[in-house]
Amino acid sequence: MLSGDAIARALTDHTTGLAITPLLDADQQIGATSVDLRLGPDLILTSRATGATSFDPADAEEFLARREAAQQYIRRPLGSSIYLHPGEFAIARTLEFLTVPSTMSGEALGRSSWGRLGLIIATATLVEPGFRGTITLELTNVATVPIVLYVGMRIAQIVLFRVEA
Amino acid sequence: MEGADAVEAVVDRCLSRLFALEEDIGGYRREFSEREDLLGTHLLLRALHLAVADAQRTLIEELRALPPPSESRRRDLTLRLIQRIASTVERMVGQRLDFIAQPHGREFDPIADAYTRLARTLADETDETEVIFRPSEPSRYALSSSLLDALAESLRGRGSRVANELKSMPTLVVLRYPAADEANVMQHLLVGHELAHLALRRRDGDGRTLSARLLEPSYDSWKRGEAAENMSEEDRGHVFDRAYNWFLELACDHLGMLMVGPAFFVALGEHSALRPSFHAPSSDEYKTHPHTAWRLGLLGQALEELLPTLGEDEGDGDRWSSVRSVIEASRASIPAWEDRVPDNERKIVEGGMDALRSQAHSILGTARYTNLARDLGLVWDKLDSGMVPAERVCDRTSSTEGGSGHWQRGTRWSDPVDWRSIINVGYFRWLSTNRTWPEARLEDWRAADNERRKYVALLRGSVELSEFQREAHELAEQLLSLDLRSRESNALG
Repeated sequence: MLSGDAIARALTDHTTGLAITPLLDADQQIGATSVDLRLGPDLILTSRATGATSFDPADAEEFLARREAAQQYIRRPLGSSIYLHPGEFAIARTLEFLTVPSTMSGEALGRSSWGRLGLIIATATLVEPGFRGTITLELTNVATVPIVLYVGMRIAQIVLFRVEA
Repeated sequence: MEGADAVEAVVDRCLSRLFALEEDIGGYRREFSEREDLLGTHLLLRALHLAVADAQRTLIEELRALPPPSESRRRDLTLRLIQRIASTVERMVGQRLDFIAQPHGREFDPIADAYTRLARTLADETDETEVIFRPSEPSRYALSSSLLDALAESLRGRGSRVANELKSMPTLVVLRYPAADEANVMQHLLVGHELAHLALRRRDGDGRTLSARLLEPSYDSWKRGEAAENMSEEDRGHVFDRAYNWFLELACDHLGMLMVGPAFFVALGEHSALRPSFHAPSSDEYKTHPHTAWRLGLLGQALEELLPTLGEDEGDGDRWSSVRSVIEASRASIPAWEDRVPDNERKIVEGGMDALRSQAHSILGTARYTNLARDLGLVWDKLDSGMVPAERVCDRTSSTEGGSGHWQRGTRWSDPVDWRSIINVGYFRWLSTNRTWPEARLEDWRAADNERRKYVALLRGSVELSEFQREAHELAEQLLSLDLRSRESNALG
């Protein structure tokens, strides 16, 4: 596992091929062994009352239509708030775009402080060597009160590992 | 009784039309209520709401003061006035609603704010200009301004107090771009041309536009010459009108390129080459616009002066050679234009262009693009490595260049890359590395098209991220006042 200093060194050395762009506040974001990632501006909210009885992947046509009807794309500027109500589910992505070289892999995790509030941030956690893109976040509020999220807020983190052949 | 019924019916109809407009405006307000980025649209809707409310109030006042049936002539005049007010407001508000019926999409979003900032720098009222970006018909970029001026004038004509309120609102301009190319940030460099129109419309104390001031000395000089002497006043007028139209477009090309960078030249070339008129010696469209070959020819010449000022002779020789080779290849494919331009108009326009060139820097001020030399290597290298070229890490170095890891906590990590650098360098890099495609097999074309789309998407995403970072720096104070950071650190630990 790379320490924060090792990550900072790798990010400032362009020969490593590692990039996390943009780091709006490196002091805050680079931790002891991780880099905090921020909530990006694009979200897909899933409405709670869709009228659909189920999402059945076996019925491909109906599945797609129901999913489309249930999900609403929204885009919000930096600093604006989004309410995630109890039981509500949203798909988001990180603000940062990651380029991971073939010599490294990563694991994306929710920040525990959010978990304590009842926000589950499940991601496809393994970030493979050679990955390029933003990390998808699946947000669910399992608490009993709404949680307010701000675009640009630190919401997840990534730890990095060296890959040995 | 019959007369009273007829009056009532007329007034009812007029009021219904205004209520319908009010409903439309309300509908759009609800539809766009969460689009905080559509400042211009919100502003326009507010202005239209004021105009309709004012018309409703006027109609009711006129109705109350309606002369009795015994004064039939005055009564008819009042009724006609009521109908005219309703019709005028319906037409003007309806036209303006059309501008916002289809807002710009998410794929245009990353560059919308960047171009609005340029517009504010260029227009008369600094910081008081808002742009509505409107997806429009194919192949066409166009700018419409004075959205509120005509409305305000119409209201002023009947002594409305709302006229002054509309006049005091920011200048609203509508910029149309080809809807089918919404995502193509490389081609959207042509927006620079449209924004340059704002600069040329600036007026001096006597009310003369900048474009007129630049061209008139050249026209006066031509008028004293032999060619003009043998012409009638009417013919001279025609020559001037055409020269003026052509000069406007050529001047906007020149200013647009200085504003958004040299890739403007290739964007215009690619955009124009698809038109059937590109190789035609003349066409109807050239009555208002100069021949495209002439436009590109003059831009190509201007590039010879521009590139050295952007740092062509300083460092990064390989990258500059690639940029140069793209430009040379583009220039070589421009059809000959010298014989296609009438001598009189050409002489007048060339005089105007000389005047423009000598004042271009002061006209553009801070809107001029100057960062190509600084960003060329950085953006190119990042694209080569598959990274998004959105930020310049301050202590970025290489372990092979004497170590790494100079960054110390508490010091600045990075700066956003100028969005124009991302698009310019990205465009040149793309063209310099992908020019063999036309020789590829037919089935490769679709793949090539997809590749280009993906590449443009990468540039668009890079612009989006650099704009976020710029905004985050700019809004640092406001974000603190939102207690964003302390909210995180205190509440979340």
